[in-house]
Amino acid sequence: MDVTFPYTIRVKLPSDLEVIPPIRKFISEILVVSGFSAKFAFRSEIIVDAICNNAISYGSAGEAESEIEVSCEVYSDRFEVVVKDGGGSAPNIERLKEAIGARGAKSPIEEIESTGMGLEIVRLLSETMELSVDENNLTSIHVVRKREDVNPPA
Amino acid sequence: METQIQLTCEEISGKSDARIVRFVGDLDATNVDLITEQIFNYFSDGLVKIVADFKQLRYVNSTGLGVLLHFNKTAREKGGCFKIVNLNEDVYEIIEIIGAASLLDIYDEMEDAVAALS
Repeated sequence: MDVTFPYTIRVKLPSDLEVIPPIRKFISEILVVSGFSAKFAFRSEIIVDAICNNAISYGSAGEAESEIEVSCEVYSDRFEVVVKDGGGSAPNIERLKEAIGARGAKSPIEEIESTGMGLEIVRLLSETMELSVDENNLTSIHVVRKREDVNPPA
Repeated sequence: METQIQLTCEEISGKSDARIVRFVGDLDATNVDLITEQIFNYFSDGLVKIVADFKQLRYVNSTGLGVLLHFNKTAREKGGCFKIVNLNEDVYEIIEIIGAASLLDIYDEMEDAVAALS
């Protein structure tokens, strides 16, 4: 398949865990047909899963009609994903900041709860992971993962 | 509707407290409760030695990884074990990256896992 890079995938989804499997699988398959390796696609699927899971579990403040927005930018040499949530509570945002700030305390892995473990996996699989919070407590996580299997075009 | 996953259970000759449990599908946040309930039902029935065959388990996310660690710990507390066999390379790498490979009882071959049941 001829692919013109970069291209964008952007979707808004209900803030419900059940939307994660279809979106993670879709993004993984799109990466494969765009020429990325199966391993790259699998690891990107893990990343999308973890940050969507995080946004839904901690960023929706319990509102029934909240949404998350998933934006992917696919370049020839990297994959970038931003997940925006529907607005988290202050304690959850603090928790998120702590989780993203790497495993400062170096907790044993079996003691890290699942969101922390998910974000730790994202951190280990990506080049950068950044959290931003706007004035309305809307949070977004931006992750960049570079392609490993080819040299980028000059 | 949770992600598709199925468990099937098989007896092991001569080991009444052990079972081979085959996982088929993806293990993630949408189905960990279902899987946890099934595995804990085995534990409650005295089946505390589980050999989990992951040959057809394509995907495990962080939530799934968390429950695997939980099964491993609980089985040991009950005097049993939770052995994993036929893990695919992609999933194994995630387990290794997060530093959980040494915490789980992972085998390449089913016969080795079964032979290691005490």
